[in-house]
Amino acid sequence: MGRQRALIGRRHFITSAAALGASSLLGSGVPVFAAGYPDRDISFIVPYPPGGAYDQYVRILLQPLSQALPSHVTVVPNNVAGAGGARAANVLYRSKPDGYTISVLNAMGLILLKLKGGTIGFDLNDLTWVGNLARDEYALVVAPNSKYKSVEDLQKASLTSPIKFSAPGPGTASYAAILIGTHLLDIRAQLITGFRGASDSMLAVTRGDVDATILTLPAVRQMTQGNFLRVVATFQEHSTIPGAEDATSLKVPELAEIIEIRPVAAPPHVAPEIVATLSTALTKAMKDPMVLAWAKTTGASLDPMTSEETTKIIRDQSSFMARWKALLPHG
Amino acid sequence: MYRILGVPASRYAPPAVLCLLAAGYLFASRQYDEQSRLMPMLIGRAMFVLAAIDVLSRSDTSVGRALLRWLNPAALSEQPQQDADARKELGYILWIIAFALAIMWIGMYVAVPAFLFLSFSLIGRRSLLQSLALSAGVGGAIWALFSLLLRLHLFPGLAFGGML
Amino acid sequence: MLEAWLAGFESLLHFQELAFLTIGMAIGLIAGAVPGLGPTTALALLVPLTYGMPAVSALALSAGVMGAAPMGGSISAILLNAPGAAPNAATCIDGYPLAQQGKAGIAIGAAASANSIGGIIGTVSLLLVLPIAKSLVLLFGPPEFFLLSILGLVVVANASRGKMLRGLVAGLFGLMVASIGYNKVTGDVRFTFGIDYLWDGIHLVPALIGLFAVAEMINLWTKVGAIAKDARNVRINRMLSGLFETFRHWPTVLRGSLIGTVVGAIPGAGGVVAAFLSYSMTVQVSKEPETFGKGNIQGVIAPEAAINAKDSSTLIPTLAFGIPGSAEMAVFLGILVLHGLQPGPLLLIQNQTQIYALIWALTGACILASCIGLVLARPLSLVTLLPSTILVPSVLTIALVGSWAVDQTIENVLVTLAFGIIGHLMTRLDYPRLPIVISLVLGSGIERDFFQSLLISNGSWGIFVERPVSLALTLLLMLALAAPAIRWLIKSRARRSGAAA
Repeated sequence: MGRQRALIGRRHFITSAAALGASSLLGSGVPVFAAGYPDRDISFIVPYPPGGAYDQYVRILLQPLSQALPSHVTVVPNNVAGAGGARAANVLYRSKPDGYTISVLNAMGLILLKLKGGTIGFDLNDLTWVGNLARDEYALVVAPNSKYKSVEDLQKASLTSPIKFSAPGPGTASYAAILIGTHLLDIRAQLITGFRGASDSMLAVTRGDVDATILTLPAVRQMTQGNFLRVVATFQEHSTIPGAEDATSLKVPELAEIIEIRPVAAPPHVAPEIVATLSTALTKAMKDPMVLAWAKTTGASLDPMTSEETTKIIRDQSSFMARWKALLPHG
Repeated sequence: MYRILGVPASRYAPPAVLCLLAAGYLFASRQYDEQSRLMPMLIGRAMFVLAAIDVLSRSDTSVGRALLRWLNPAALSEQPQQDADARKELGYILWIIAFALAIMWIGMYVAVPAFLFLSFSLIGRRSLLQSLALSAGVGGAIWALFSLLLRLHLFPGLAFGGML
Repeated sequence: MLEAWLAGFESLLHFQELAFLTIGMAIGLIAGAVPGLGPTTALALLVPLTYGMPAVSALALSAGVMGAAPMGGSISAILLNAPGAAPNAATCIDGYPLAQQGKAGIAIGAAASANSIGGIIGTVSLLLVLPIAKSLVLLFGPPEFFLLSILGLVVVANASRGKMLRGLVAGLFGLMVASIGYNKVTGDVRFTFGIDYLWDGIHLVPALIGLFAVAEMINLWTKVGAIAKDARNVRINRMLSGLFETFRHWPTVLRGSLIGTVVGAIPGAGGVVAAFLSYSMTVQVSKEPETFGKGNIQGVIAPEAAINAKDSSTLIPTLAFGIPGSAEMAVFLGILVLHGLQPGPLLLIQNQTQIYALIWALTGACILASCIGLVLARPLSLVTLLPSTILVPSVLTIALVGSWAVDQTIENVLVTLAFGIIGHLMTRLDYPRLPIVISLVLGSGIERDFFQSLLISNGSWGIFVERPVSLALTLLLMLALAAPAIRWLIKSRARRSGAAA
């Protein structure tokens, strides 16, 4: 038996026995090269329960990815929720590096966790980064009838008393975005955390419980279109929302570095040939017309990246966030 | 059996254990900061007080009886437990614990048929053939439902590569 | 709007859609009946199968699952004390004793009819509320949720009359367990002692499976025999009388449906709270509260009506703003997204026909599932005649494997085991289990809503009386707290005037 999470699916014993035999002899520290990859189901781990945003991204890609892979093997989603995404990361880390287990990870949350003095049990940079699904930029939103019409209004008002921002838990990427963003914009902020997710956070703004929040553009899209929220500024170089300020007009270019990415990784030491196969297939899948149509409807910002680009952006984001370590609460 | 305040000591056991649990809980909450500690402190203290009242209400004193009548009158008509059952119960509980641990350690494919077979034959005192047939039936139905129909990968056990 | 209703209904009347509705129903019934599965898992597993399906077919399939699952859950709750899904735990409390008395058929009959009526009332309420759904959702913020949770706790505490002290202790134990894990407000992780699994707290469904199913199996093993104490008394042909019981107790059905509708619309509260609240209220207003827990048919009707009513109203925040109120809704939203229906404030405007088709399908599935439940009640009741030596190991196995299957986390098995032992001890030592369930569900939410409320109000407690809905809830809370005293006053006055006469 291999030392992987037992996959009782279609097994082609002849072809994979050789590979398994080789890998057990060599141990898991050495790259595994399996001829005829892929020849069985690939498990795609999702760090959250079914139905959430990460889950939707993966599920829409399952068929196109399967089509894009040689021999069109099935890609099976596997929801491994828990510990704010850290459990999925750990399961991935300990999986066999044979290319049959990959995962999308909430990289920003994990980077944050490490900065706060926590540990996920390993170094994110040790994983084999395969590609990326999306790159979302943030926006600052207020209620449509809010008395704050611009960033300047918020800045001035915060001099007297802090502006209330709603945020999900203190370990999430949104939370970091709000802390760093308000710091860069010179807005004294009071973060009210614990909201059950993006929708809850946004409703608090619409209801008037809080003054503003900072969330990704896809997340606020329908609420702004339905006139339940108004975008005051976006953390983009050039705002895609008419009437909203952006990093350029606010003269704070660093705002555009605050992003959310959804990278896909494989366990450490996966053979380069396997990574190349996966990476190419992933990029091809993301250009599938069905996926593009879905992205258009939901406002998702697909951003396929190569393995090297993904590895680089993980490192860049780690250093960027590390600069703001002092702002983050220590857990 | 010791008698405390007119009642066998074992009668105090349940609420006394809960008192200890509350005390432990309060002790463990001390390590958290003020805001995190607030709710647990409230719960722990309330639990300790109520469990203590429960202890008192079981005693054969006038205060105890009054408390019982006022706060938990249903207990007035309680029957004392039978000890003969307790030993058998303990046996069954240990057997179930063993099953649960077996599922975790050696996995569902082994633990489920083994548990079924042993339960039917040893505890149910059925013939070996009957037990085999029944285990195959029930085990097969479970496999068909979870593995075939729902396409879940049954847990193989920590000893065989499953992961927490 | 009437056109949209009719258009939605019409779009379902095609063979493919009806076929998918039926398939969904079958899956829902089975998934509902097996402890640990439930509609959420069933939906999650169906998601990949809906690829390439037209939207209405996918909606019909989902509606079938969601509408039928509660009936499946009722059946295993009544026959085996094994809640198929969390809300069915309330049905166990009186349903199982009825099965023990050989009246499983009556119980299932009553559950089926309560299901249908509750579902219909829920749908009607949903349709009435939909136009003002967004304003309603906006009325409820952290202070309102906090007050609602406290109200829930008080109502349930009141229901353990005669066992108030032990009920409170049980409830507090539940709150202790609920405090384990990641605290979203402070970012702290409490009481996990380094165990990763506990980071998200104790998972609810495994705990309930243990508390009810495993606990009862331990009990059954000790007392040799079958569930139905006396085989001669097993009336498996009195389902019709079960049906009539529901109509006889129409206030209970109505009350349950309304509670289910209202509570179901609150995100985070969900079926468990609806069912248990409905049960507790029925106990409170009953003239013979002592009969509950021992086989009072109203104890089955009340939660069952609530569970199905909530299935419709739980769609309100989902359809209004795309906020899933429960895990089931979250998965359902995922299915919507896959089929081009983006949840959010614009969903109702842009996809009216499909949404009304969904609502019709949900109601249809609920009623059809009840009919199937009725038909199956007779053969299924035979389970209560099985000797415990066969039944117990089988149910234990299904319970433990099902508990793992909830999210394929093996530690769930240990949780089920632990709560099985706890549940067994609680029944032996006469501690009510009802308050534990409510505290487990509401516990973490209470703390978060409280702290959020104070942060929003800058520390002022006034927030709990300043907003109109909060004020109303606070008054209700005062009423609920005073209820036992008021009842005692009325009783003693009646006694006094009776003595004087």
